[in-house]
Amino acid sequence: MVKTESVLKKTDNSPTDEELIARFQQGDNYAFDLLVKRYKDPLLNFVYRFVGEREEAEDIVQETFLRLFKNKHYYREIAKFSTWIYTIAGNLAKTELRRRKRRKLLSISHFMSTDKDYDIPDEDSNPERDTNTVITDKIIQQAIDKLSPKFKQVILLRDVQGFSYEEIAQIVGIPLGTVKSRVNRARLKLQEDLQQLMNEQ
Amino acid sequence: MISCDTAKSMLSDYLEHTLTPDERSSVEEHLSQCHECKRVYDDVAFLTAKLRALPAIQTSEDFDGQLRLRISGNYAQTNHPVISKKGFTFGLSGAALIAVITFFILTTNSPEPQPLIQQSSNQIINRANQVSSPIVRTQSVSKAAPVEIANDNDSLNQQPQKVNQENIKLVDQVKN
Repeated sequence: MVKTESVLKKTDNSPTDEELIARFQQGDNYAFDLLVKRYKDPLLNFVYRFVGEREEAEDIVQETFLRLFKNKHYYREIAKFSTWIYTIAGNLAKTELRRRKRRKLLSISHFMSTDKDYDIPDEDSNPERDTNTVITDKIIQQAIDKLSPKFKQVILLRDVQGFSYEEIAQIVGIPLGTVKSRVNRARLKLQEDLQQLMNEQ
Repeated sequence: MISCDTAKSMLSDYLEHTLTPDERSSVEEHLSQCHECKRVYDDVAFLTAKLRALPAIQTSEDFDGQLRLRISGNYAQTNHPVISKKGFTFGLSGAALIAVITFFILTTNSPEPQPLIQQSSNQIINRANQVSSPIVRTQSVSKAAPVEIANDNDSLNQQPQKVNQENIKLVDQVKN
């Protein structure tokens, strides 16, 4: 599980996230550096699983920190810092997926307007075809990619990042009961999609 | 026995041991008799474990440097020159088009068309500046001499026939 920073910060005497953001709000840029160091990898893993592309994910994480830098005074201590930063990253990731969807629609319409024939790959001759039905990380990522953003967000926060249901409710901004049922439905959908992907192998 | 839908809706709670003892035993009873739900439960349990064990990735080595650049504002200038240039070019084209249309409207709707060609360029500039639209004030209409604009073939390409007829009319008016 990726979310280890909250464990780390309690086992030694390092400042909490909330102390760091308070220091940063008072002009201590070193505190910002520490927050970046603490969160860059966990956020990257979250966003990477969300958008499915590493380079894009890194760009989104950078944008997340840029927004933190520019909007530091918007943070209020009523929320945990981790839920706040994950909210920003999650929203940016969802925006990217929406942008990608629009781009895909555009490219399809462009494709249809030209009279090009397109090749349907012959599955029998696909050298990458793996007859082994072991569930690989790649197939799992493919199944994650098939989930809708709202399912993807909660299942990644719960099962990959290890957030509690209460924290997810704060990050996503929905009631606790909705989070629980959404996580359950997301798991069932992922299971279904994975089953389908395995059958297609 | 509870239905398959009810059992499935309780799978995560069952997996995470958050059900009451009664609820738990009702799910267990269902799973012991429904092979399909048992298979789904096993898959979900396997998947959640697999998700937790997905290999973690790390940010690239130059992440901090890139972030610093981005924060200092250099990122936008160094990485998106094409987009900026496109936007700039498009903006210029749009401004030129607006300037041509504005000039066209001014020349066709003017209540006193007769002295237009005879006016000095300064007079035209003054008239353009009196119009309240910011578009007129900002772009090249005020800078261009009227004769130059009237003979500018590029500008006329927008509506060649109409503009040429207007020019002819203006020339006739001057002659008269």
